[in-house]
Amino acid sequence: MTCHDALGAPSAPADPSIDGGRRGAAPARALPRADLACAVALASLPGMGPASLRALIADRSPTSCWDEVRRGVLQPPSTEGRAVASFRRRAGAWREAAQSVSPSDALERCDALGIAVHVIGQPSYPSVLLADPSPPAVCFTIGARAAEAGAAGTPRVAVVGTRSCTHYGEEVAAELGAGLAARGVSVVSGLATGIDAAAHEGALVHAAVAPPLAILGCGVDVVYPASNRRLRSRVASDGVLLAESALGTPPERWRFPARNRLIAACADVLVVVESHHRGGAMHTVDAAIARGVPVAAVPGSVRSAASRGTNALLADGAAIARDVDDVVALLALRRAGASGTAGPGCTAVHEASPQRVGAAAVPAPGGSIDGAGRGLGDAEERVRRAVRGGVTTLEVVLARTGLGIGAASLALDRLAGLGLVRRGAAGYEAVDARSVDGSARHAHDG
Amino acid sequence: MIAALGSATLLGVEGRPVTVEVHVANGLPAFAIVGLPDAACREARDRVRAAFLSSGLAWPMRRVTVNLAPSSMRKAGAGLDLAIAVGLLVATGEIDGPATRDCAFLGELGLDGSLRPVPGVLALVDAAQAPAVVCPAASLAEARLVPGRRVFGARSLLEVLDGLTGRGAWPAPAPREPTGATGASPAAPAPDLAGVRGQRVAKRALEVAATGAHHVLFVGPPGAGKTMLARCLPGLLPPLGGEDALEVARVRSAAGLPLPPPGELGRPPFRAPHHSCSPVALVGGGTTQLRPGELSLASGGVLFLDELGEFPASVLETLRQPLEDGAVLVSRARASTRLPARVLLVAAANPCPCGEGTEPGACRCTPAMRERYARRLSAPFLDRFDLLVRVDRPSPADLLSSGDAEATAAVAARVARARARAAERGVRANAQLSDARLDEVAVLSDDARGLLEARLAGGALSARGLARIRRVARTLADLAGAGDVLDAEHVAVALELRSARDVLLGTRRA
Repeated sequence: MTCHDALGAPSAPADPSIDGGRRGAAPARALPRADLACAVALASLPGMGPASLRALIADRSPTSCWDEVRRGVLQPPSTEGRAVASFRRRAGAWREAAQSVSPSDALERCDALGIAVHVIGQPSYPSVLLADPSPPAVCFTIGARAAEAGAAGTPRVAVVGTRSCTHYGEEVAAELGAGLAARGVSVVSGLATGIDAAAHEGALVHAAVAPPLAILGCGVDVVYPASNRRLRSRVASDGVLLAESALGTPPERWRFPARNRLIAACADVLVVVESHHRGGAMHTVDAAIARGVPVAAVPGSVRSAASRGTNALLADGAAIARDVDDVVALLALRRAGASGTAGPGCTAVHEASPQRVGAAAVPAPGGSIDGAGRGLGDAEERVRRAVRGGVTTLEVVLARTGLGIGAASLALDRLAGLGLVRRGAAGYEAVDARSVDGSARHAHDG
Repeated sequence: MIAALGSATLLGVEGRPVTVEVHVANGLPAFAIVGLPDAACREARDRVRAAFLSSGLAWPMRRVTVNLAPSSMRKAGAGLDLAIAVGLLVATGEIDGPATRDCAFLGELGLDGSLRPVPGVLALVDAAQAPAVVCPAASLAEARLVPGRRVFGARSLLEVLDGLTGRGAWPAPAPREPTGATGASPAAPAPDLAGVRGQRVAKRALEVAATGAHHVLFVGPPGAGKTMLARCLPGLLPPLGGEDALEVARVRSAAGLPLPPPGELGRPPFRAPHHSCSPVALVGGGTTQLRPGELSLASGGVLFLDELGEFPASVLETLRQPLEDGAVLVSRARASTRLPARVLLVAAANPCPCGEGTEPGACRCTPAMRERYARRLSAPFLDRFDLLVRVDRPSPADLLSSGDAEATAAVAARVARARARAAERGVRANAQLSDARLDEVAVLSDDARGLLEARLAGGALSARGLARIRRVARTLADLAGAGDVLDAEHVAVALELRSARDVLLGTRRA
């Protein structure tokens, strides 16, 4: 998926049907210890992904589920032939693996390592993930401030980017990390080398104000990459490490896109500092767009390959992130919207149709031009005529159109958004219509 | 014999109670004043003595010591003269001690025994810890503004003596003299908005400023009518309530300015200091006597800074903190006091040194000149203004049009209604809404959010600017009678009413 496609036509959330009813209905309650232990054991089975696990424990307790797995009497959730066959194959593998696993030992190992286990539906489960279309069924955290970092009300900004970054990108990521943390914003990243590490380093400077949140693709107890060993232990002590994979899970390739979806799910705003055109950070961008999370990009040199992806994002209409202020403004706007008061910021965005999500996430300048004409209203046509023939102030627009200040301001904003009117320090000026049409067509072709 | 009487001295705009103790004992004739008197205060010795002799009273040829308690506080001015003189009369047995027990005394004595007014009578009466106060007759009207005090006025030391001993009645308050010390010269009537032709945008900005207490800066060429617009603003503000009106009177009194006539006490003040004014004259202070500045005199009303670009940057910088806090804190080694500074700031500025910078091609300034000018109006200072509005010369059509514009009274009524909505939120005006409260009462509709997001994406808006836009949009919504959710229209107008920032700074970020 190219960036442009991603921004212009967002895909529907990956699996919107998943057990929404359960989340809405069941009040959160603490699980018995046996259930917790079985949930940990289930998560450690080979090939057990978040979707499978969620489906398994959706309508029964983890304990009875574990029992069924061990006895090999698990019923496939679907009756479709191929699905049943694939399910039986995996259930067989699970059964085999389950014979050598002791749930209570697995849980005790977590306790010994200071790892907290959160099962979906439990009160300690990070509330920000509840609003996600595909939340992990079980997640593991290290760090005393997990509740703070995962609460739906905490402002969070994801700062991500390429591992092979430039010195410039590293500096900007660290500045953003420190600046955001200083303003009470929890910085979310993936604890990879490069941009991720720099963002975490920056955020750790002000960890007392807002804990950094690192989301890992491997087991939460696995040190990866090794060069980040010290950084990882500092994030663990001053911030929070979060992973959905079972303990000891090695960093497998396919787990990183899944990890990226969690980064997008946690973030109120996603900032890409540097990324190659097809870099891993672009997966995070896709996930963010699907979730209606605004995406901002740090501009870079046009000669720098590391900025090719971010510059392309900007060209496609992503918000610009020149400094912390830009990001904070975007964050403030995100939290200021009508959804901000209703509770977790993401819920309302998800209830909207996919079309709406795209519109909210990326204000593409040319996006409102419809097929037939430009869809200009009467007020806009009048204002457009009024600004022809030289630089015009709002006062003159009012006199020429007879519109009220509100209607005229709105019309001017719309026209400026469409590129039909240029806003300058001296006033408004009409833009030659032909050049606009040309650039609009060009944008659609691209 | 010893006597102790109540009085008060002035610090800034606040009175501080002072007890005047007079001790008369045998010994070589002498007269000493102790307890940190300043020069004017120490000279009371000579004034009191001359006043005694001129009034035909016997001067005690004994050792007289006057102590001004608390002795650690510095006493300024001649307002303690009367208390010293009466204390002397009590100590020498001319007046019975009990007659002065519940009474405080304020006023300066002339060599002929007359009683002269002193600045700050309002604050002094307020501070004097006594149910009754004797003050100069000329200050009687001012002193009566303080509720819950019996106030007596006298024209001379002898009248005070007569009043206290019961030999004569206290003189009745004189009818208002047309040019008396308390009667202000009739203030120039504020211009009416109906008289301003055209300028719909600027008038809207004034209405918003008056409603939300948003500071406003007009940017435009000379002759555009910026000053006239600013002068219209006090008329849009709601009249001041009891305590606020009293504060205005207290500041004026402390600055030694005449009070407005009783019927106009509730009128919000309007002060327009010239750009050559010193920092101290603007914010208040001074080494010998702490005096309120223009900022405090405008408290509760409008401070108008014309030709903002001509004010030295250092002067403008001193304004920043008081504007934020609504008060000037003056700290001295010996005392600190708080001067009120709750002003609505209106400023006017030319777009550039030649004044024609808003019109493309008309400006004759060199780039270096413009840059120097822009530097003086620093971005942090411009950030104090929620509204930065362009004002251009009205077109000939506007000038010739018949005046069908709204009158001040009609707009003021709308302002009062919208202010009531802000009051329901527990703030005086929307400019005081905290960022956290904005999330509750200034929720952005989807359209409004989209509009701001587009500006943000274009890099034309900062986080701080965003909060300001939302406050102004909240005020616009209040004026329109809208609920908690802000429409795109309110946000679009709020952005428009801030667009002149680009003209001054030459940058694109609001």
